[in-house]
Amino acid sequence: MTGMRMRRSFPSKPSRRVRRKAVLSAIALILASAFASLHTGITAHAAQAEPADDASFYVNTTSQSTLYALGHNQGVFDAQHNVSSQVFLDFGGQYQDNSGTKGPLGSPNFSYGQIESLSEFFAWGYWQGTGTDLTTVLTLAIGTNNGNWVAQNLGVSWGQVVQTVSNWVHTAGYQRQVIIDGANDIETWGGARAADVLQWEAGYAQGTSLPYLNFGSADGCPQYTDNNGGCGGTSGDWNQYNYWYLSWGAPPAQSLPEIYNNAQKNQWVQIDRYGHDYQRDTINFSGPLNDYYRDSSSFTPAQSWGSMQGGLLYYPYLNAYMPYQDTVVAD
Amino acid sequence: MFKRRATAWTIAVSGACLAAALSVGLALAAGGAGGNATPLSPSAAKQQYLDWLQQQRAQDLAGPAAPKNVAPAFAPCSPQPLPTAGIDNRSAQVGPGSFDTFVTSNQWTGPINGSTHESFVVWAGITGTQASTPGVPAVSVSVRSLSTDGCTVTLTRVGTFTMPQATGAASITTVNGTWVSLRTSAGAVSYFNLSSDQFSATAPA
Repeated sequence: MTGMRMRRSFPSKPSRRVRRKAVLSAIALILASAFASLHTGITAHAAQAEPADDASFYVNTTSQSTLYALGHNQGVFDAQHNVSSQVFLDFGGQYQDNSGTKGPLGSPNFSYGQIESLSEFFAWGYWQGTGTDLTTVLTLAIGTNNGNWVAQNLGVSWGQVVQTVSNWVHTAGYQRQVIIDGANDIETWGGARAADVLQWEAGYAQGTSLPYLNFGSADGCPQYTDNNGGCGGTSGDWNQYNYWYLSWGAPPAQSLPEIYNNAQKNQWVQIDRYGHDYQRDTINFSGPLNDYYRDSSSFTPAQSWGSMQGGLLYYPYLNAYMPYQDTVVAD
Repeated sequence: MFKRRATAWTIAVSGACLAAALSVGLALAAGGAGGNATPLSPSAAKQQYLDWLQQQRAQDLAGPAAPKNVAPAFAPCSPQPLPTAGIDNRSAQVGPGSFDTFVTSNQWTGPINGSTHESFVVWAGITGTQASTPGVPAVSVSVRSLSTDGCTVTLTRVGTFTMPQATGAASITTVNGTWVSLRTSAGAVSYFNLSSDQFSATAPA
């Protein structure tokens, strides 16, 4: 091509008919493009980089040194990479007599005193693990589930446990780098009732003013509609409203939903859409939770993150920014 | 002829434009995928709460920090016994994992050979998810160990074992020694030996 000039032929001035056609075609193209871009969810959102995958735990030991080591590991990692993290400790479901919890996945039972102590050891481990760093921050969420017994008085007690640990953190002087929250793995568990969890939430807010993190699934919720459809479970009272309220609508509620597969992503995005369309309040998800290291057939951390982010970005009116992502393992 | 064709084409394109514009308008009005391009602000109550949290955080950051490498004070440990042996048949069941991997029907715990510091935990149910795919009947087994001072408990997972040639969810009916009797929702009966981790179709002697 060097040395050659491309010849261009310029036609004479087009006729009115052709010009009119061209103008109309251009308008049609612009409108069609606008419609298509809206329909396919193409937006101006900048893709957020995937955050570090924080390890959260089904606590199956009462060993204080183990919890210290886990907190220490997280602190070392955060300081080395200059990142903050969010970790929940799942101590299982509360007993009806309010004596403590039935450990998760067959773990030991925990008294409230043990839960407080083990959480404090984790917090101390983090504080030590960060070394000279004073900028990284751990949000430590002390978790239960609604699979054993759930009632308002148990919510009050859980709130008090969370508040006790938070007070300890402040007394110890770790509050710059350790934030204490509550947490609850809210699911249907086959026969659990949403009404009981709503009572638990009300009680929790009496026991503490600190937030709690819902890290559960939304079993059987609609994947493609958002008009407050019914969800799974035998109690019959699970619906998109209840999941939305317990994950964001209630003032202390925060959300780290299980995104182990595509169906779960769909369910949570629809719950968020329900919040937008019917409550005028969209969820600020804390991040997606994956289960890959316990179940390799489920989403990898990257898949869990990418799926959730993509699902939220699809709807421009949902908030796709998520500061964390977690994986759950047994300690 | 050219004029008629041009007029028809103009009407068709105009119609298409109108339809497209209408669709966009409807999509915006319905708040669908093409609705408000920015997320909504939280409700007043939520925003008030988030503002309060932010204020608390600012206070925390302004407060004094403890020196590193100084051990804080902790409450002493509270020893605990092994949980009471028996079958748990409640309607809500927390299984050995997420309900997305194992749906629990019921569970049993009991000491290993009369031990006061080691016990079995056995869940019966079905593999797979609660919502969709039917799995196979199975038991999941763990061992719970209590330290001699009663302050430390650890859980060791033995495994998940599927009932051969059976369908439906398994439930524990009785436990005798190391033998766990199971019945599936389809009516099949099987026996699981906690010593060998094997199923048997015939009742133990």
